[in-house]
Amino acid sequence: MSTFLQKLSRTVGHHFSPHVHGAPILRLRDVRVEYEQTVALDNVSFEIQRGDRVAVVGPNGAGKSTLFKVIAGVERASAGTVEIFGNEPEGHICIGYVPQRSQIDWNFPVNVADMVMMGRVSKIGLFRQPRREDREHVRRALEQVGLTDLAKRRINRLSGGQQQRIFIARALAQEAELLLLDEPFMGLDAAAQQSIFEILERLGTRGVTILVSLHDLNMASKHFGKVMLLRSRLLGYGAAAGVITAEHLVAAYGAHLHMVKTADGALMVSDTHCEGCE
Amino acid sequence: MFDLLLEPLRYPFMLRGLCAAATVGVVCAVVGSFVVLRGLAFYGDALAHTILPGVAVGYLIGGGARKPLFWWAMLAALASALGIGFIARSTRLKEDTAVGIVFAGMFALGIAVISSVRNYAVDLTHFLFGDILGVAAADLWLIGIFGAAIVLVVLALYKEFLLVSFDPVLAATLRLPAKLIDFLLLVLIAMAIVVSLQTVGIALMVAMLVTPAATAYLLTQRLPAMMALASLLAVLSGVIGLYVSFFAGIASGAAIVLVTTAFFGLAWLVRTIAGR
Amino acid sequence: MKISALRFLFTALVFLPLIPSFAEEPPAPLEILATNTIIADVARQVGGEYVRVESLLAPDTDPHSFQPAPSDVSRIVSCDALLMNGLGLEQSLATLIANSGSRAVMVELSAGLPARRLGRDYDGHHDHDHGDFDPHVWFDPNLVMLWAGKIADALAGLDSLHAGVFYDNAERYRAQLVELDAWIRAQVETIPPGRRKLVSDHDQFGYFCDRYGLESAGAVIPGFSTLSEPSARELAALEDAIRAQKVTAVFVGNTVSPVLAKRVADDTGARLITLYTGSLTSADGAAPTYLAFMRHDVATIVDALK
Repeated sequence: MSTFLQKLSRTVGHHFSPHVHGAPILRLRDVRVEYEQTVALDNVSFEIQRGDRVAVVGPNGAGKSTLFKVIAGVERASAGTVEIFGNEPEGHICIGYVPQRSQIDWNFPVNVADMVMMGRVSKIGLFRQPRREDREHVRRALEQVGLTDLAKRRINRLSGGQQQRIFIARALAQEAELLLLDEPFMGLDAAAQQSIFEILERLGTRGVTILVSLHDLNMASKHFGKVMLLRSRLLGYGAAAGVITAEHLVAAYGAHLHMVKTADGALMVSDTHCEGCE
Repeated sequence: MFDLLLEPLRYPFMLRGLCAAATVGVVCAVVGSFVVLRGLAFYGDALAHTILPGVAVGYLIGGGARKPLFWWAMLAALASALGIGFIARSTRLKEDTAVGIVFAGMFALGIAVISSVRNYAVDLTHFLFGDILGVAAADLWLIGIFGAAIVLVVLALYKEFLLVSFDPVLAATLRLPAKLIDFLLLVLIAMAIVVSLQTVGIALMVAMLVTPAATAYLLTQRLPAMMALASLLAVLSGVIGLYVSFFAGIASGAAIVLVTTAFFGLAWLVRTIAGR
Repeated sequence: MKISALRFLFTALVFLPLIPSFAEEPPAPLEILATNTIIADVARQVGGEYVRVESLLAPDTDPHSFQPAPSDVSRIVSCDALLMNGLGLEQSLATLIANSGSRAVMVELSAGLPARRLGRDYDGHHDHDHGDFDPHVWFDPNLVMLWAGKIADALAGLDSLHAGVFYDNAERYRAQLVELDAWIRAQVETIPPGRRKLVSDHDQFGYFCDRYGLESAGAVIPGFSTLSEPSARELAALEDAIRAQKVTAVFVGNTVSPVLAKRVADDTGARLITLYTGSLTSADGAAPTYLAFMRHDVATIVDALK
């Protein structure tokens, strides 16, 4: 029993990797992820600089969630390397991974502040209680997402938009420098989506690097500096205009693509595959 | 009235029973809160059966001595807990499937061991489970020490257990050894089960593990409050149940279980009415 | 040609055993199956060399709980006679026996005996594990004498050639039981009258107490089965009775969990004494026969109460 605890404490208390100076915050080289029969990601390489805000788009099953899990170090790549500040993701606690809302049991008996405090578990350390400093981080995180008033509310009494904001607050309490948001806008109404955008914009100005996966190409090109188009392979990465082209979109979405030129020359795209699913 | 309440306390077995019920109640309530939140009730019930081969082998090796049986039971339960964990994680089977496989296999192994040595066909299932009225002073020490250890570990690693139970992916990105913590929790549950089994018997153990925690879940908003209320309800159930057994002449284990069930029914009623 | 020769040889081999043998062979002994070791011993005494007796339950097992193996079913099917206690003792075996399709002669030895009714000493507590009668008949040798007579009848019905031997054996065994009865009576006389009180793990000494003038002061598990649980009230009442009547010993069967009995004994200052109750021991044990079993138990009881 005591050796077990020692082992546990050693594993938890190890020193996290230093940030190599000048290295990009995120660099992937030839990353490939295979599940038993299928290839989720193939030959994906890119770099992201500090402060970038990137929208990751692509059809269902394009490997967006897999990409985030590999970056977060929750899953391992079958081949290739992932580097965060110059070394592997498993050594970092600065990656805030925000899963899809359905990944969590919202009936758990915790309140908003409790859930945000979970982002600080590693910083607090094994066997220790939250200190004043930790509570201060939680308070500020809640303030930034505008949930201060709901700190004592049980999480099963939150709306979808509030649930998404509490996730972001948790990543902030974690002092995440790289934020990965998996489908944060899904199922939210326009007002809730707008408030998430505002939060993300504020974080961008504070130097937090953000990757967001989403479905709406229009939204991607309008709100994000860079767009990444994914379908197992990386089909395009850069400014929206260069990525969201007819050629790329046909490659990504194939037959399920509907394109309409509107009066002002904008491209309307709908991915019929997605309607009503997920 | 007061004399009537003191009346049962004249009997040492009642005092020991009350102590045992309270201690087991608190331990089971604390551990049971995680059991309820993670949907591990089946795991709890199944684990109680997986100790059979351990006890059977211990009984045969020890020539019928009862003392070592506890350790054999513990060994079998820990082996089962780890086996379940490994099967669930190394295959893509759901945890309750892994539980079913290990539970059925271990239980059958126990019966096979017992039946292969026919002249030891003493009713082992009866032999190995305790009765709340038959708790010895030494048993009290055992549950006291084990119970305190289990509760202390849960409190010390409270935020880690909460995190791993609530959001294992966050635990992974925070670089906690999530699997190790998960295993530790399963092991603690197994230990609580064995300790309870040996002192209060199987029906009471399952009830104490699940029902007070489930009742508290309905009535509280946060996990610490849930654990505290579950403990209180478990202790109350133990005390009230034993008094009912004393005055109404109902088998004591059944009386305690029925009180926990009554508390749950009451809480459910309150929630349903308040929810409308 | 070759094939038909082979077929002839094969047919001959198959039917060869059916050709009656004219050699003089003694008839095979009767295969008698008893449900427990006590009945098996009595059957052996009566059947002598003309029967082969086996017991379904092995020595040192609790007759109240029994998990049969397939070999047990085949023993039930292949025996000539199945001897049971009856009065609900073999309740757990009832379906097994009924569905085995066995054509053996079934004898319930205790059926029709002057059985004690359940619930005579306990108001409102009915344990239905055993049915309505107290099955622990064997604690009175006079009732075992009746068993011996029934067994002789059954054996004589199956093997009329040796009927005389069976009845003679039964008569001789009866004499030994009469002697045992007298010895027990004398032994119990040595216990001071005020101390002739028995407390045991479950209610099993009713016939013994009735016959030899002892009093049952209570049982740890109220009821005639080992498979029930007491309430706190019953346990408290038992402890009160033990203290009030100054009972000095609590007797527990060797196949039953002694945990509760041990607590009661410890709390009341009585001694915990182990007896053989539902089963004989194996041949190298202290009670391999019914006579030895009764002598051992009575000596132990008398020694503890004196």
